[in-house]
Formats: sequence, C-alpha cells, structure tokens
Amino acid sequence: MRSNLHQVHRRFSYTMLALVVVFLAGGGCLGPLQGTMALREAQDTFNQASHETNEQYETALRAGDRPEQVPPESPKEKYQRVIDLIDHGVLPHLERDDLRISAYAVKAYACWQIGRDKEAKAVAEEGLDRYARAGLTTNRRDYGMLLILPGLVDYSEAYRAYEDRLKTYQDSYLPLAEARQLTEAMAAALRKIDDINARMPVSEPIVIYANSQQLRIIRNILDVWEKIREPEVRAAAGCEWSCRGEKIWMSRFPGGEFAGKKAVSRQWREIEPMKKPPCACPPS
Amino acid sequence: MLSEVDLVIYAIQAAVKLGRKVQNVFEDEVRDRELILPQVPGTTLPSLAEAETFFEGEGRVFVRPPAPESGEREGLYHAIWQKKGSSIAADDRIREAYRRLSKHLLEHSGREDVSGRFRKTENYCDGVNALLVVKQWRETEDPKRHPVQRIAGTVVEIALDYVKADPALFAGNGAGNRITRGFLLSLDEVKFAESQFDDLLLDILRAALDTIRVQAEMTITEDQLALLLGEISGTLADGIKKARENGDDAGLRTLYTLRRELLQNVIKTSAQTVSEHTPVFFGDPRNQREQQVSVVLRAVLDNISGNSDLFTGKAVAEIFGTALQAVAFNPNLLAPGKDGSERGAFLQELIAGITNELAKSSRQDPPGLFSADLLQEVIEAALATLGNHAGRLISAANPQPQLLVEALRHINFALSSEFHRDTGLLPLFKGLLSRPQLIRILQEVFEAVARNPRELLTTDQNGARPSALSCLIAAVALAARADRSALLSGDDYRKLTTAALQAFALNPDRLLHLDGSQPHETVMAQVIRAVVESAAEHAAGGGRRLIQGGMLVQAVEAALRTVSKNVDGFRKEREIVSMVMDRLLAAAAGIMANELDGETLLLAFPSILRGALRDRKILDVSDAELILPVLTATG
Repeated sequence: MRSNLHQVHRRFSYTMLALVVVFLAGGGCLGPLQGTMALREAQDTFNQASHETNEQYETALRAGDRPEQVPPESPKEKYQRVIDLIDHGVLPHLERDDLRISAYAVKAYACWQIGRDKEAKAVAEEGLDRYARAGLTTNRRDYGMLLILPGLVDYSEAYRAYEDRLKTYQDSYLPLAEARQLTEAMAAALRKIDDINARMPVSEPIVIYANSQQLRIIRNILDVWEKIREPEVRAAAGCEWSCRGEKIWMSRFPGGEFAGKKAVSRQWREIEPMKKPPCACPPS
Repeated sequence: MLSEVDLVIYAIQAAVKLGRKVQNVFEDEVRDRELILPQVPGTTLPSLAEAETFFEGEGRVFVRPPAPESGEREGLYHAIWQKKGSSIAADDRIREAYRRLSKHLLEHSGREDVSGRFRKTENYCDGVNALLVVKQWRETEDPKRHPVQRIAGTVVEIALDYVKADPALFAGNGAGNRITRGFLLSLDEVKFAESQFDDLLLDILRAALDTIRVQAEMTITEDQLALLLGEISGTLADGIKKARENGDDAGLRTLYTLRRELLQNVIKTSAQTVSEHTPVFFGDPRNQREQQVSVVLRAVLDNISGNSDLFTGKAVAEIFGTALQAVAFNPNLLAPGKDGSERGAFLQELIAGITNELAKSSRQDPPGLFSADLLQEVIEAALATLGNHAGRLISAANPQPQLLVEALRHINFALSSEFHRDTGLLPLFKGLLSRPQLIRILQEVFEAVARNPRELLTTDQNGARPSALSCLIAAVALAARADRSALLSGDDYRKLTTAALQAFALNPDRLLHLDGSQPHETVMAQVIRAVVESAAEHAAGGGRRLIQGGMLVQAVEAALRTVSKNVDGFRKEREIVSMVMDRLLAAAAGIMANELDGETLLLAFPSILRGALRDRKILDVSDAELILPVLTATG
C-alpha cells in the first residue's frame, strides 16, 4: 500500500493537480461522486426541514395553536428541494443499490411531508422492491423507513380528515359514527406501522421511532374519542386505547436505556391518565 | 490500521483523480449518516382527562366558585370550567388553561422531571430530538467502528476543500498529506468507541490544516504529529466528557469556545513548541508515550470546572501555550504533586492555587490587589518564574508547597484592611498601577521568592506575625499614603518594590523586623514613609520639585541602604531620616539653591544620613557647613 502511495505521490505534480482542481471547480470531474454529494446535500436539507417541522410543533404547543397538517412554508420548500435534488441530482447518477435505497427513503418521507401521498407510497414500494432484489443487508434504517411509510401516510390522511371534521363541529361534538370512522382509519394505519415489529428487532433505532409514532397516533385516537358527547362511549374508548398504548409501551421498546427514552416515557404518560377506573387492561 | 490510514490518504488524492476507493469510503459514509425524521401530525394540547384530573384535585382552587360568605373570589378558570361539556371548543379551553397553568407552575417549581405531572418543554424537546435522530445501525452493529472509518468521508471532503483553496497542500509530499496522515495515525492513539467526539476530531484536523497553511515550515515528523494530535484530541475529549458528566454547563461552553475558535492556537503552539524542543518532548524514545503535551493540557483543563467564568477559551489557549513553553524549558515542571500524585499534578496544583486565590480575592469587597481579571497574566508570571527556578521551587524528592501561590496570598493580605486597618489604602494603591505594572511587580516578587523563599514567606506558627513579604509590600503601598503630592507614578512603585526587595535581600532580618504589631512599624516602612513624606510635603509647600519619580525612588533606595547598615542608630532616633531629607530639601529651596539639584541632593543625602545615624549632633551646624563639605568630598 505504501509503495502505491509513493507512486501516486510521484505521479502527481503540482501542475497536474492544479489542472485537476480547475476541472473540479468547473464541476465536471466529480461525476461518480456527484450523485453521492447531491444525496448528502439532500440529507442535510431533509434534516433541516424535519428539525424545523418538529420544532414547529413545539412552538405551536407553546402558543397553544394547532399545528398545520402540512408543515409550514419554509420546511415545505425544503422538502420540495429534497425531492428535486434526488430526482435530478441523485438517482440519475447513482449506481449502488444501497445508496439508491437511502435516496428512496429520504424522497418518500419528503413526499409524505408535503402531502404527495400517492407518490410517497410509490417511492417506498419501489425502494422495498429494489432492496429485496438486491439482497441488501445494509440500510437497516432506510429499509425500516420504507416499511412504515404507508402506515404513516394513511394515518396523516386520517388525521387531516379529523381536523376537517373538527372545524365543522367546534360548537358541538363529533357524531359517534364519524369518530368511529376516523379512528378505524387511524387504527388501520397503526397496524401497518406495527408490522415492522414482525420484521425487525425492537432495539433498531428505526423501530424505536416507529413505535414511538404508534404511541403518538394512539394519543391522537384518544383525542378523537374525547370529542364525542357520550360519556360511556368516551370512557370505554379511553380504556380500550390506553390499554393498547400500554401494550405498546410495555412490549415494543427495548429494556434499559435507549435514545429518546425520556420522550417515549412522556408519550406514555400522556396516554396513561385516560385509563380511568374501573378500566382494567387485559393481560398481555 | 495502517492500511486504512493509507487508504484514506490515498482517497484524498484519488478523489481528485476519481479513484474508485475513495468513492466507496465516501459513499458508505453518506449512506450511514443520521437522519432526523419528522413526527406524525397530532394534537399539542394535553388531554381533557388529564386536565380534568388536575382541576378536580390539586388544582380545584383555580376553578372554584366564588364564596361570598368567606370573601373568596372565584377561581381563575371558574367561568370556562362551568362551560365544560358543552362543546369541543369549550373543552379545548379547559385543556388550554391546564397547559398554560402547568407551564407556569412548572417554571416556579423548578422540577425537571419529564415523567412528572408537568413536563418542561425544553426537556421534552431534548428527548424528542434524541428519539427522532435515527441512525442507520444499532450501536453494536455498525460495522464501521473505527473512527478512521466513521469520519473518512468527511476527511475526504475537508481535504477537497483545502485542495481547492491551496492545491500545493496535497501535491506530491505536500504538508497537507503529512498533517492528514499524522492526524489519521493519531486516531489509533485515542480510543474513541463513541462517535460523539467525531466532530471534535474533525475540528482538530481542520485546525491542523489551517495551522500548516499559515506555518508551512513546521519541522515536526509525521509520528510526532500523530502523537501530538492524539494527545490533544484525547485530552479535550476527556475534558468535555468530564464536564458533561458533572453537568458543568459553563465549563462545557468554555471548552466549545476553545474548540471552535482556538484549536488552531492550541495546535500551533504545541507543534511549534514541540518542534523547537524536540529532545524534551521526543528525545528519549522510551519517553515518547509520556504524553507531556496532554499532561500540560490536562493540568490547564482540570481547572476549568467551577471556574469557567475565569477561564475563557482564549485564556485557556494562552495559559496552555505558556505552560507548554515553560515545560519545554524545564521538564521538572511536570513533577508530581504534594502527595506524590501523577505527573503534572504540581502544575495542576499551581494553576488551581492561583485560580482559587484570585477568585477569593475577587469575592472580597473591594477585590484584592491581584484578582481574577489577572488570572492569565498571573499564571504566566508564575510559570515563567518556575521555569527559571524549578530547582529551588520544585523538589521531586520532596515536593514543596506551592510557594508562588503562597506569595500571591501574602501580597493580597498585605493590602487588606485586616492587615493595616486602612480601608482606603488598597483602592488608592491599586488605582496607581496599570495591569502591566501590577504584573511586573508580581514578577519581581516571584523572582525574589524563588531566591529567598524561607525568609520572605515564613510566618510564626500561630500566624500572629505576618510574613516579611506582606510587611514589605505593605511598606511600599504605604508610601502611596505618604505621597500627598503624587510624586510617584505606577512604574515608580514597581521600582520601589525592586528597591525594597534588594534592600531586604541584604538585611533580611532587621529591616522588616516588626517593632510593634502594625505593618507601618517596620524599619523599612518607616524609612520609606519618611523619605516620601518629606519630599511630598516640600512639594506641597511650594518647594522645588527636585526629588520626584525615579529620583525619589533612588532617595528611598539610598535611605534603605544606609539605614540597613545602622539599624540600631535608626531605632534610637526614628525621625532622623525625615530630618536629613527635610534639611536638604529646605536648603535646596533656599540658601543652597545654586549648589543643590536633584543629583547633588542625592549625592549628599546618604552621606549625611550615615553620619547622622552615627551621631545626630552633626546636624547642629549651618546648612552650608553641613552640605558643602559633603558635596566637595563626593566630587
């Protein structure tokens, strides 16, 4: 290796290097790396958009406002840029399957975040298909992301519908039938997300994320049930869904410390008060 | 490991010529980067059930109805509570009230538990951030564990940036290659199992490359550089880890400032010092692993905790530079501490001692002569002295106490009202001295302590008798009280200190012998005061200002030297110094104005004083009879 290095050293004269750098600056010489660099930029932009989106929810919490279903303007633009980058700067230049899977995962989530639900699902499906065909063992997170994406999209659609209904019924309560319909749609999404637990160990970072989102969805299903007038039905639903939350809390997270344990713990503590006596959860 | 290092070096060059290897390294890195995932949308209000539980229990005071019989007004949220159960909007108002209340109560409770009834949003955000930053692999399963592999992609990127800015850096056997190779090799020296310090490592690489760009002639070898960078990154990582574990936020901030803005200084200083003093740091191959640089850096960093308000990033970088330089000149500075603890403990104790002393001084009202704002300069002065006098101040066989820290304590004590019962003296004296003058005085004192530690610092066992150093500094400071005409400048006080220290060295036991319990009762204090007071009063009375500034210091010096040779004579006739000085100044302002200027007055003064100390009767003649013969004799 060392002798190779020396050869490389010798071969590279200053002039040669300067020429290459000029070429570099022109952008043409980075061909094989161009796609990877664009992917890196897309990841950075995606991370920034997600961070701002997540933060926005907290800002909304402080202001007491309900968050927009579609993330506000700036993150939305960023997600759009992520999609453009991947479509034009990444995928046409990448050969490696694992890198393409990473790109699919990021693109699918960006589509989801700006409400292009069908496209999000299509990209996820394409990614999963490619992952299987290539027989990859890398990209554990990306694979998990693609697995749960349809569930996340379905839930988001259901939540959007719920918000629409809330506008109509602000001065009264949700009709029981509508609450059932909404929560059934959310429950179906939940099952799709939960499917990841059958395919990957609970200690995988992406599975922890998926299960924490399950808790969040259950919290929102309980929110729907608090919007109906009938107290008995409300109490029964509160018991049923808090028990489902408890089951996830008890069985779907690794023991010991893991990243975000405090946040997950808090999610569960938001659900727990809904389990009011005489509610008793069936043994799991 | 070597092959991986070579691979990355190769990759840097190959990136330019589009080598396949670098592509793989870079692509793996990009594939496995962390992603922040968005949350599913949802409500941000607490549940109605939770709000109800609160308002029906411990929070019922907020929703109680008015009670006119007891004069109680209705609860803050009574009105909206009454409407609960009437609509979604009404219920949401209860939830919102609970949310606001919980936020308010939490702020006043100081609780931080995310699992309690109320949750601090900040903590929640932290937790959520940890949850939503999703890694590609489980911690134990990431196949790329070595830091070289983890950061390879970024190293390539950084190198490319530098190539763009300065192509020569990575051409042939360019300095950039040497730096990067040294850096990569250094990662073998540091056991970074966690990726949390990867950014730190990359900062170090950038700082090293920046250093070489502005200082291309660094003569340090690749192996030495590897060792050096390994020491710096390992020690900084330890410092950051320790501050995190101790919850020392302020310390962390200082370390981050150091890392963000001053790493280049640290590396430049280390590389320069190490390359200029290679035998000290790398001379004996058996000592190569002694890690002198990290011992010094640790000695500095260990003091940040609890003192981060004093240790700015800049101060840390500069103190480190001075300490390293001092060690280069005298490796004995890395002696173990008092209890035979590990190498460098003496240095650490020195810095800690100075820091504590200055912090204590700053807390006093008013702050002492040397306070925390002078931390960096005081440490530098101490290190310089130690470097020159390590043999006297440090004994490996029997490590001595921190004599310079003790000296600092004695100086601050000398100016305290506890010592001289004069609350105005400290501000008066301090006001006369600039920072550089203060430090010059300290340097003089440190040098004197190094030459004569026992005589200057000894106090009696019960502490009733102050040290000679305290008495000496007090004697100098008291001159400021006597100098009503502002004849002495800050620099003159520095010279006066030197003169006092020299006089003390010639007669350590008698000049500073305390006749009473007060510092102004030492022979030295009385002599200084007599000369200064006499000159000041004559100036104030409209006399010629012949003796001021440096001349006045020389007069004091002469008086001290003369009295030193006949202390008994002085004790018999304590007014004798003022009498002689008054007589000369009066003559210079009157009958002998033509014969006496500053210079001739200073010629006559010690001679007449010497005679008067033997027999005061020599003064019982006319001015001309007293002075002219002396002037004639002295030419």
